[in-house]
Amino acid sequence: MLSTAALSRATTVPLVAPLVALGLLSLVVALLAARPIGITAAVLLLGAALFVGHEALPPAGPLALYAGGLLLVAELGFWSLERRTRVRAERGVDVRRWLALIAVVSASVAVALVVLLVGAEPRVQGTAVEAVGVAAAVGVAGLALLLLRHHLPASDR
Amino acid sequence: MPESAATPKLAAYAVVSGAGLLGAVAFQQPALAALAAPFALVLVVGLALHRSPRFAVTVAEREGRTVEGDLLTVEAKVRVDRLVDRVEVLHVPKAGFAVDPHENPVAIGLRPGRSRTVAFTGRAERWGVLRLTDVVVRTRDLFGLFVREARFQTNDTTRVYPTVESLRRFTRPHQTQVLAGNQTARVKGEGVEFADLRAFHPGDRMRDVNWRVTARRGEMWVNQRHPDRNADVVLFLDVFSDEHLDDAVRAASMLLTQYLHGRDRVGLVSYGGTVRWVQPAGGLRQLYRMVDALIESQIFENAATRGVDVLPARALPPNAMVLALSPLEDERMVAALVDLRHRGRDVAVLEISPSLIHAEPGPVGELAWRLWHLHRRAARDTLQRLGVGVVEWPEVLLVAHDEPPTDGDDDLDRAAALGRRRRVALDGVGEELRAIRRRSQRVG
Repeated sequence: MLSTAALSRATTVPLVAPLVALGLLSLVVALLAARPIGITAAVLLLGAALFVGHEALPPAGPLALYAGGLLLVAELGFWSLERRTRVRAERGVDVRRWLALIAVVSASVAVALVVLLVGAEPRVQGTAVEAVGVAAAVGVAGLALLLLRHHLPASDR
Repeated sequence: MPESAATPKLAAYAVVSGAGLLGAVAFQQPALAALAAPFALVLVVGLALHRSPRFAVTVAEREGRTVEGDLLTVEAKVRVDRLVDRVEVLHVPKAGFAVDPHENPVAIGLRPGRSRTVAFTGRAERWGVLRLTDVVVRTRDLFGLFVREARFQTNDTTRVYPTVESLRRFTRPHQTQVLAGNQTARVKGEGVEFADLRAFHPGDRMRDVNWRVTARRGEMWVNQRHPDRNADVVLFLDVFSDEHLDDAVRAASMLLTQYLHGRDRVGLVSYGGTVRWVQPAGGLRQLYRMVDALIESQIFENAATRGVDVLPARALPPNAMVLALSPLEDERMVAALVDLRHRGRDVAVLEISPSLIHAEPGPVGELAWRLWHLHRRAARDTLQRLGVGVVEWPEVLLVAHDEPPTDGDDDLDRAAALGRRRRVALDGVGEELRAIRRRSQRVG
């Protein structure tokens, strides 16, 4: 569905299609070979496919849904990797997780929508806002690097 | 101590969030920030709410002791002080105890502060002292960003006793002791089994008079009988090699039970890298003591040769029958048996035979196999020449003195006759044992 959405209004399909194909391929490889990094690559590629070769981005609503869809793909992908270890789950444990997943994805769609609406508002644009954005991005990237360094097993680095 | 670790998901979400936000700033595209926002949301909320949960786990095994093939249940009582997505409990697999892999590990939902008990039921597949109370507990936080894992184990042990098969007959000792029992003694005295006739002497009981012979001979004759006595049996277990220890212990357990039921006194000598013994005694307490000693039998590699001299006299009482259980593969064991026989001990060998071993393909393998067989036969012949009965497991289980004791033969003939008598196979028992052997191999 995400691939279709990314390809639907692309102006330069030859550029978008390989990205989508690569994204799907990395997702399949990640699930088959139990490599979490493939899920990350798939999300990044599917996210990038929306921007490459599109003259005009979709409206806020569908874009927020697309963001929620990316999160859903990642969540289901990681859940699938967890389930490769055969664990007998008693009744109710998985149901609770499904409910939590629906809640998280719904909340994330709402947050993406808020971000888009706030970003579209000219009054909140400016140097200060941009500085906060840069700081947030750098902070998250730093956190990512730190976590990659300390927590990931050597095989996944 | 529980160990907490970030999952790959945490790093992945951080990468996606960072890339999205940086891209949004670099390309002036709020939409990129919107795509990254869901991941950043999970990350921020997950990190903000994360507190490492603390576990309280108690592990116990209900039975404490059981018999091979029976079911055992290990229970883990788990309590977590914080809300977590799920708690996974894994019983660490142990040799000799098989839990259904579909039932292990188990994921349960658990509210903070409340306890749940997870039970793992499995079959005790092999005799021995097992340490089953060993579980790993793992929790995932609500967002799946952190896992916390801890292992809990206790020093409690579960004793799994070998199964006891039924025997129709078993080896009788050459010499008996003075107490009453089920073995027919060679000497003459008060008993049931007819032994001989002799002329009446004053003081003989009238109930012993054989009236038919008396009428024929015209003077009083009385019956003589063999008394029923108990015997001392020492099971001499070869613990030089662990390949056949399973069968040896199972056979020893079977023999032990049978002899003790016959009111004999039974002792044990584990002869190998270390020498351990249980001095002969009778009764139920001795049964438990011996079985405990048997299931604790294990191999200690030791190049030092220790003869039978290290055994105290109490471990090998006079007139005790030494029943060795051995594959006859270690020369030290054969030498010990020869030594015992030279000292006048009544020795019999139950050979835990590796007869199911086949030659490797090729001329070298065939030659090695033949040499190995010749070496075994030589060891067996050495013992048999000394009058030591040798029978194979599982082809023949046990042997019996079918003929009554004879007097008057010279020592060599008597020893040879004893060896022959002890090679008497029991009909049907070999087949039963082959089935047991196949079953135990399947379990192995």
